[in-house]
Amino acid sequence: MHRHGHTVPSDLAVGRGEHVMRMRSRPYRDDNANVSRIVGVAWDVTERRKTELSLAKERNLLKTLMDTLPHAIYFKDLDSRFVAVSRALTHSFGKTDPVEIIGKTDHDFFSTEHAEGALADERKIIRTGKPIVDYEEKETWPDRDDTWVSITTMPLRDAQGKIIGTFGISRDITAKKRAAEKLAQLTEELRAKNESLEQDLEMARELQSSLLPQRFPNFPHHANNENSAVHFYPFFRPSMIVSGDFFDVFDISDEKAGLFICDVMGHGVRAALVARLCALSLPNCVPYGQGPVNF
Amino acid sequence: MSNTYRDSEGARVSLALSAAEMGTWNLDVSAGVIWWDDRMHSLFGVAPGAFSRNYEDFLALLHDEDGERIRDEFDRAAAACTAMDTQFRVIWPSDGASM
Repeated sequence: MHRHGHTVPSDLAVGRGEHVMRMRSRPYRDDNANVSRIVGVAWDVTERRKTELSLAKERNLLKTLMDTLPHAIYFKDLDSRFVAVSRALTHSFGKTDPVEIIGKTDHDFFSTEHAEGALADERKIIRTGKPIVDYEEKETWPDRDDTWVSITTMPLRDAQGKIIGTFGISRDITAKKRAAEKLAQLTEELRAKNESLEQDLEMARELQSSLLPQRFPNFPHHANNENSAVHFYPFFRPSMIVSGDFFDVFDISDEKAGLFICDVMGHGVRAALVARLCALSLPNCVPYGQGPVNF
Repeated sequence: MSNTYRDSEGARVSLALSAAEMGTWNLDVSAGVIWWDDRMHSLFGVAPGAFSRNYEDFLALLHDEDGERIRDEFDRAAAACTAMDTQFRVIWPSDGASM
């Protein structure tokens, strides 16, 4: 089948060495009312066609960007009115057609507080020509929860370089921001729990120290601390805050001192508790202690 | 061609066609003969006077994808007595000489 109609196929591409002609004609009838002659003109439209194709290509690139990128893209005039917006921005404003946004301002969609802030930023960009890059901002809406965006706003210039507005792109980072807030909250909870645990451990350490012998037996038994034949000078340093290791000194007879040093495998609270159980039963074993081997 | 200007409709049309860089043509439908002026020759990359005036030769100069469409448009213009306004691509003959 061939194409019909007087319009030119829009996909008429121009290859190398090809010339595009436009042709117009008028038919003339003979005496029998049949078309006997067709008279026409033709002219070269190659350059125009190439320009059209190149424009269509650029338009298609821009359209693809504006219609499919999941980020909000906008172009605004000097009065901060939208002149072009992406489909993603349209949807984030709760609309379906970008036309519903063109000509309006942030005031028509955001809370006054947010709209005023954005307006001040845009006026500054228009005045100074300096862009704002990757700025994280909270958006407040009159009718829904706050959202977070990362925005980049640039001055929009005409072909002569004169600033005629602003344009920018904003990415929704609400989920990322909420996750970061959640993480900060969990970290704080963990820190608080850790602090409380450390306090408990410190108390355990103090308790453990208090359970170690503070006074030692004298030899012979009736001697006092000054004239005792033997003196004991213990030094105890746990490897962690609390340790299972402990020691005790007791008198077996006037000639025999019992020295008990307990080194528990493992460290920490569990080891300390096991060792303490041993220590509690130790005094019952003393009468049988004739030497380390028999003990 | 004389440089002396004598005002006439023909002279004005000629000036307009020249200014617009337009070629003119004229098809004898039943004979299948198409007459070209000099500018038509240059638009199609053919040396002046070298075109055969054969309608089929004219279609042969068009891009493969456009030839049948243009034949169709001419057929309809002749059958229904309608004006045409169309575009097509031309591949210039490599030697630019004769058809």
